[in-house]
Amino acid sequence: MGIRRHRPSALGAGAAIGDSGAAAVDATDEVTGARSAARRPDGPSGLSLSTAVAAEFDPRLQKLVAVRRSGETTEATASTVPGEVAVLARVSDLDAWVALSEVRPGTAVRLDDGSGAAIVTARIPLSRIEAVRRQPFVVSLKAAQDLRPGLGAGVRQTRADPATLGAGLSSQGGAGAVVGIVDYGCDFAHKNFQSTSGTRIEAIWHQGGADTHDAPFGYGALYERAAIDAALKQPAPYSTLGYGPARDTPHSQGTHGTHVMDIAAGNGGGSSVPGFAPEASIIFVDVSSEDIPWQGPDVVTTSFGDSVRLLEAVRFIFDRAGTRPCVVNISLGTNGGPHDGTTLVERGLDRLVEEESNRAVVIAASNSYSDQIHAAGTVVPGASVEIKWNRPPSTGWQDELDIWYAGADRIAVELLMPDGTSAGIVEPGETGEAQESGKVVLLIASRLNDPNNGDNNIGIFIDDSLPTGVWTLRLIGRTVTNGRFNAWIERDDTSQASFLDNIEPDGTIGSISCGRHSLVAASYDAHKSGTPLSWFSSAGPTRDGRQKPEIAAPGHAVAAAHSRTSTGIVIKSGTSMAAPAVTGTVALLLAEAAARGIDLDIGRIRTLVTNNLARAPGVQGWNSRWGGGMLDAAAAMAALPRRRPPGAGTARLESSGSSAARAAKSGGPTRGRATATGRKGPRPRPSKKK
Amino acid sequence: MKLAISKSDSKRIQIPLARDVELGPFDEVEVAIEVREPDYVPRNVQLRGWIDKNLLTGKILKGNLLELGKDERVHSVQVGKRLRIPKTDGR
Repeated sequence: MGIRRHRPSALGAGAAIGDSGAAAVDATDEVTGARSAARRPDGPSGLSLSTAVAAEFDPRLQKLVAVRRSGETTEATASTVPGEVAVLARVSDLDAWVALSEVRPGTAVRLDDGSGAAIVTARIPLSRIEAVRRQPFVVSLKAAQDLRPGLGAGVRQTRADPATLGAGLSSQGGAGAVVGIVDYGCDFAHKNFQSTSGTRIEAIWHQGGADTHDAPFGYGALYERAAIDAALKQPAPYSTLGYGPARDTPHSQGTHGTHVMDIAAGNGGGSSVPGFAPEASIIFVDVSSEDIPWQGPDVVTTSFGDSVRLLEAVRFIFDRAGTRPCVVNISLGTNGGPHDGTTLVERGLDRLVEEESNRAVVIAASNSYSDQIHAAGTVVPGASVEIKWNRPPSTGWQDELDIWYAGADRIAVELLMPDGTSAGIVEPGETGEAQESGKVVLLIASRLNDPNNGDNNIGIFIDDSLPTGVWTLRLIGRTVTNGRFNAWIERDDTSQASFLDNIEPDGTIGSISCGRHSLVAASYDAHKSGTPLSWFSSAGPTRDGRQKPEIAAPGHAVAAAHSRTSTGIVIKSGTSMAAPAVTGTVALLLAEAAARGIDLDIGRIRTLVTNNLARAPGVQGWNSRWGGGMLDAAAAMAALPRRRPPGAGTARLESSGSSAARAAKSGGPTRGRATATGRKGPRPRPSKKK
Repeated sequence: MKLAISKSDSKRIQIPLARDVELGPFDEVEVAIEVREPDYVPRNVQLRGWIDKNLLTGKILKGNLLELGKDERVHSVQVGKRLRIPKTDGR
């Protein structure tokens, strides 16, 4: 069986790989050569065509007319002027068509049927679409399709555009909600994150920045809205603020965090293509850091965050959002871990969204489906299972492998090197360590009964100095009642190791993506009529059998904000791009619920989204890769109750499993805010100790 | 090359093995700690903040992890694990 390895493209479409070697932030103001933004007619409108016209109108033209009626117009493209739209038509009388004053003719192809009919292209004024369509010789009229992948395609396909969401909403574009982004490389100077009154970003916490006196949790640099606005007024905003996104490299175009933020909450002010919640407020935590002591001569010094700091980031965002509805996007992850939602990070995230209503966390599923990083099988008593583990020639990284099995079982592990030599056997509850020249080069830790889930864990570390090639893990059943094991190889973007047998492509979702309350997003391509699943999109379920991912969203070839271009866009693919589509949609729902006076606990938020999905192609019910189906913002919005109950204060909609619902059933107190100190009331500031 | 075998350290501590190997006893590690008693801050931990009343974040010398793992008022400890951006390859 061949080894599948994936490399970044030279143009950086798969920018995440190259990103890992680049500086994470750059406070200088050298500007990337900007690509011009796609200009697309994605305008908001709650208006619809008259019934007589609507029945025969191309849906895209309907939207354009609705845009015009709302008082807006189309932007110029490479071939149209503002207020004009490119069309494709079939006409029965070509001369009459060309004679129309509204028509700026393009090309025409006469049909060979002797009728004088033709297929034509043209540009016509937006204000005259209906009039042109009514001409007796216009057989059909369609808006030209933009063949370039764009963020607008995903917004439309998930029915999150204002025209589809409907006219009866009490909110607009997520206004009133807060979108939190935990990522790296926030380009606050991109015009997609600015409004007429200034920046839309309330705060940026750069965890790896030089400490400022007011930094959350006592470390990093905090940049408030006023400082961002002041920087934006200067010719060199990044150096003025002391923070900026990394510059492009040959392997990385556009920072990950700027792209993700635009999908979730960009307003199209620069690129003309708004994201899902263009009116939401934004809080960004840049988790990149160069001060985490990831030691070792070959370790890339820039880290894209740390699981402990991730928890602090989300705590900070929810605290800053206060009583406003808030959804946090996390397009980060790891492979190794129990994959059952019991890590402290996952449980911490769960607790944070349980703590208050109107909070949610959305996480990318991961992109490891084809990487052969997950093996699974069953060990029987007195026998062994061998797993081949290929370590390709490395460019400077260690390998880590994580095995989990039932707490009642006892499984020993033997490690055979590529030449067949046994490094030894480590029994349950033991640690095996080998050193060369005083340096630990091989470590096997067999831990029994993890405190968080009671299961057993075998971790294996192999230093980069050890031989590459095919290693063999031999799992030996000492005491076996269950026998099932799962193994994951940790991520390595430069030289990914992989399993050669016992491969299990299911269960490849990220190890922080298995919590009880997080919404986990898979990726598909919204630009193709069949909406195919992205080949890389990782599969569930969790190791304990829960259905994750819950939802699929457009994450393939998504064009969104290109950092350091002010108005430009760049294409990236990944579940990293799917997650913010869900995040933005949740922001729309939370904002609308707030406007209607309705509180939504996390269970209700999850139900609203996951019970109102579009069916994935060829799939019925939950699927390990698609989840429950494709994001459908309009359906979720339609399922939101219209009004709060008469005479009630703020209505709280809780799922039956929520803590408040449980308390209510038991006659106990309703949920109050569980603060860090156990008191109710304003949250104390985090400790400044570092 | 042969493994030297010993008994595993406290089962309450989860530490990425690469970090275990790379860091010495006097290096600081960032930890999330779940405690059994609300507001309890274990010895030798520099508190950074609270995620909730039973879950705190802080720093501790790696050499003090073993003692932390023996603290009966500590349920579990997770040493910070490097996060990655999910790899993307194509359009």
